[in-house]
Amino acid sequence: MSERDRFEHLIRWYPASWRARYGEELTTLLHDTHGTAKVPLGVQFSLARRGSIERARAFGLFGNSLDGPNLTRAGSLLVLWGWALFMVAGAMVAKFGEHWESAVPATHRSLPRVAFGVVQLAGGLGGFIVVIAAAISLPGFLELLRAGRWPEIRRPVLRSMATGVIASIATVAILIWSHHLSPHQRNGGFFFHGLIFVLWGLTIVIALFMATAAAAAVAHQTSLSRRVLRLLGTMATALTVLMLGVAVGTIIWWTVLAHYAPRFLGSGLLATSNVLPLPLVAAVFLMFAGLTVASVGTIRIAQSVALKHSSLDG
Amino acid sequence: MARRTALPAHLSVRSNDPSVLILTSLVSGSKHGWALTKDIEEFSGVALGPGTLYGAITRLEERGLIEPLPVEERRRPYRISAHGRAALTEAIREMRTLADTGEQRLGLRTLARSVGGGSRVLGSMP
Repeated sequence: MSERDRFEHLIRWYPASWRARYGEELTTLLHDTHGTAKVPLGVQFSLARRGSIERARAFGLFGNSLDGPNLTRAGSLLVLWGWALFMVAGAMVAKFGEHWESAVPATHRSLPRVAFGVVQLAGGLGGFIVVIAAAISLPGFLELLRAGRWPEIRRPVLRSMATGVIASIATVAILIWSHHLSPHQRNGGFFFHGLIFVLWGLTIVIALFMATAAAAAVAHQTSLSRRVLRLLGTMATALTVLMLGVAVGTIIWWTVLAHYAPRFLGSGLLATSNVLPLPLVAAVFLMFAGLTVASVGTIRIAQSVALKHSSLDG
Repeated sequence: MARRTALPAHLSVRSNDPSVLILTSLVSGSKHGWALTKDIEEFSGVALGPGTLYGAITRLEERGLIEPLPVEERRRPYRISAHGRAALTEAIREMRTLADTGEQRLGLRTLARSVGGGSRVLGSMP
């Protein structure tokens, strides 16, 4: 590793946009200060901490360095990240909740049915909103490509495509394999299938997060009009409300099942408790993590609206 | 509680605040990162790490308190802007008010005057 590479490696914590502006100056300062000597651990930790702070600011998590439109963009992207966590959680709940109705006495099915219906409806509407938002942003993406700025987004997009292809191949493979297994083997009766299923789930999660990272990288570079950004901000806010609906619906459904069908919750892969099965605990934890991130994003969108109004007042 | 000060939100009245130190250093002329670090260490005894320095430079530039100059051999000098000068003046006034109030309440001002040289002579007292 050359001297320059060594210092560039140390500032990898900073976001790409920051490095493009200050990276060379900072690596030169590190070179001037430390030369060929080892950079002290304290300085390395400080760079990691400061770089992470800059990254969080670029994400719009905090700070007031972004102007109105960029704050809307950052807020909307935070909601998208929250949605990615929700998709993982939703898939876990959907898999875990398969055939739940047969486990609950008919007289007590109406409330969990409504709750599960809300989860499915809100999840579907949320997915629809994300697809529409992607379609709205598509012209900006094409404009980016026409402007020859592909190199700026190449890495995250290629990474996303590669993980997407791997996840697709894994999905087809596990579907074909599962087709040759009995229902009992498919639902936790065959440990090796369960293990492969978990690994397949991981490839899906990785592909999902790579896709979100690619979307965020593209969105950061895409030039969008204020009107489009406002529309995306409104859609992101609606998405957060839907996430709240999914979380509340899941908890109601879970509570009813814990009361009337605890054996159902205690069966299946990784489910070791009749009331607090690990997959559901993990799913709800992910939901609340996603909801927190999305709520911060929604607050940032609201702040961008307030900023616009205050600038108009001024 | 709302700030009573007229200072920009990121400038504090702490004399070791990186933003205040950078602005103070740039008053004597434009400097790049390395020169800023050395100057600040010399006049204040504070050794700013590279991450801290560039975190403060980023915020100061975003708010128009400093201005970047063309790069010279991979080093970019910065200079203080008129807005930065005004913000530093305000910060120093606030520090002075705080120092005066502290001296007064501790009875140091009377003591200093009695030895005949204003508050600055306190530095040479045992």
